[in-house]
Amino acid sequence: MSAVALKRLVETAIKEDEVAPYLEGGDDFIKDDAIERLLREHRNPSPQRVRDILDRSLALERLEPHETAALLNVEDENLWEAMFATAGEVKNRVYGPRIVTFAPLYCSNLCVNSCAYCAFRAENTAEKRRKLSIEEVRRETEALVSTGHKRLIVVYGEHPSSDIDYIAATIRTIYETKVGNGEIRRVNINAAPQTIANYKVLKEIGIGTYQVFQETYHHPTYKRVHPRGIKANYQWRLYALHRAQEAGVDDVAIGALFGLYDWKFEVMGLLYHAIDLEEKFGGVGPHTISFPRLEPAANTPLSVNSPYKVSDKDFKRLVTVIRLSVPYTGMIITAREPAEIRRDVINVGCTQTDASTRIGVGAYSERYDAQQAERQQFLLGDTRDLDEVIRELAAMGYLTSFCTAGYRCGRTGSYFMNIAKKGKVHHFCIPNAILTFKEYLLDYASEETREVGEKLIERRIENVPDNIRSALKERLEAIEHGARDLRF
Amino acid sequence: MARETSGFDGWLRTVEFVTREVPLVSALDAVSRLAREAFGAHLWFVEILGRRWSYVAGEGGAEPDRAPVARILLDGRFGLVSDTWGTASDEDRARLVAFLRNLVRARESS
Repeated sequence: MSAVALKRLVETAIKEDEVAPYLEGGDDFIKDDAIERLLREHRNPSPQRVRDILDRSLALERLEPHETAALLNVEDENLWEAMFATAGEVKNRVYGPRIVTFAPLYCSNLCVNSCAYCAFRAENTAEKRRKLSIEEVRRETEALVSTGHKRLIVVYGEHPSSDIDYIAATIRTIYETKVGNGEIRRVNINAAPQTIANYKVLKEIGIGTYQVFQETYHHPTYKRVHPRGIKANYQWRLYALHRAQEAGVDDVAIGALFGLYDWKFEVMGLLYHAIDLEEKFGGVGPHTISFPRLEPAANTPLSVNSPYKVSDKDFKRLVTVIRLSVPYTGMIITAREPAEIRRDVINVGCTQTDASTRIGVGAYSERYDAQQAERQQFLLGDTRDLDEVIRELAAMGYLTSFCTAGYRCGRTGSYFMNIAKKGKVHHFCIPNAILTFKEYLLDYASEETREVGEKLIERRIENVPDNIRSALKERLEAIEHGARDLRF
Repeated sequence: MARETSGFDGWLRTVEFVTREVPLVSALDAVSRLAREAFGAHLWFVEILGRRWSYVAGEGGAEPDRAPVARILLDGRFGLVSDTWGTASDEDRARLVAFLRNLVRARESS
């Protein structure tokens, strides 16, 4: 795209008047200096202070920035062990021992942006460009449904060819596609920031969660790694989820790409983002938080030589602090991470993960097994299939949940947040996780996974409240006799 | 506290009074609150967006109930969800749903 055409595209795409109402004197809610100062001022917190903060997390209260800064600055290994354990307990209190599982579906890798860390950037001529046709989207969906998936996150590059009409058509197609007992019951999307008018289109289609990652909250770094394109506008992206909420899309998701700047700063940025959403939209903050780490990408030097790449040790710490800071929000760990990291980090508070992941455009239906860097945004750390991941999670004591009950019965937005903040989501999550897990075991699981899974269900049923245990058992029996999509 | 079905007419008149001339969401919130107080019913309201039933107003229970969650269409746009109707009789339910359908229709056309 020529510089003139790109300039015109940027001018058309960005509606400054949809951002201005949120600014104060032209400034957004991320104050770089204030974050750096908090991180300096709360070094070496005393063990007593850390324990006091952990008590607040256990009470499911969202932490204040100075408290999160203190946790980020803990150096005592013993205190970190206590923090890991507390984060796991917080997750268990809110969501119980279940992991919601989904798959990503990349529809397009055409992009007008120039993100220095991303293989999809416009200047990367090594990348094979492709946008799925509607028929190809149907085939991809069929392939995913055939493995047992019920939830997708659908991903689009930022490009005129992936406009709101294309996005709407793909989502409708995914919802319409059925294979035997299977179908996708919830479509979440990761798409470029939109105008309020476009968000209203997404609302009408009935998407699950709308996800936009700020990538880095640090203004100078953001400017450096996003030199051109629509994404070069920090505030247009920062307020994408505000505009979505304004349009009525009330399940939104935030994230940062860890490795572009100091990880402690980015955790603070995520917290401020959550706080601002809560303040502006009646307590409804992000539905989920994602924390992908920078991974190698084809022909993308920054993806391997960034000075801020996050070590495995610090990664576990940052996930822990996010869980402690926003106790009631879902947290997503993806197949970017290798299996051993996922295994470890899930225990400190993650609530969702993906499996059988392929991120090449068209990669599910065309069934190429090896990763192909020139077709992907980055390289995955874990390409195990869904059955294997589920079996491992079950062995760890986690129910795999394909539950989509909440958004089909009005437990969304402020309703969801209200029960999450009271720590009562697991009252619904666990029985519904058991029901959807049972469906998976009957319809898709290997013998080995079925055996491990059935034993886990037996154990977990015992923890379900007395008043619904018998109803749960009746529904499980009905599922064994062919009923599907039963829920509480 | 649960009330007698025979007093439903009076209760419904109260609901009509409270919900007149207020925005739809406020009206639905009021119906949910009054139904909870009167019958122990848990009613919440949604906007129907394809497969998504998106929360608009009201309050459900914080615990699942034995019975499946009931979803009732009020019109093509709005729905009612309930996990319990408490002590409301079948007849009370039907009359309340009819009232709500009228309420939604009137507000949408105004």
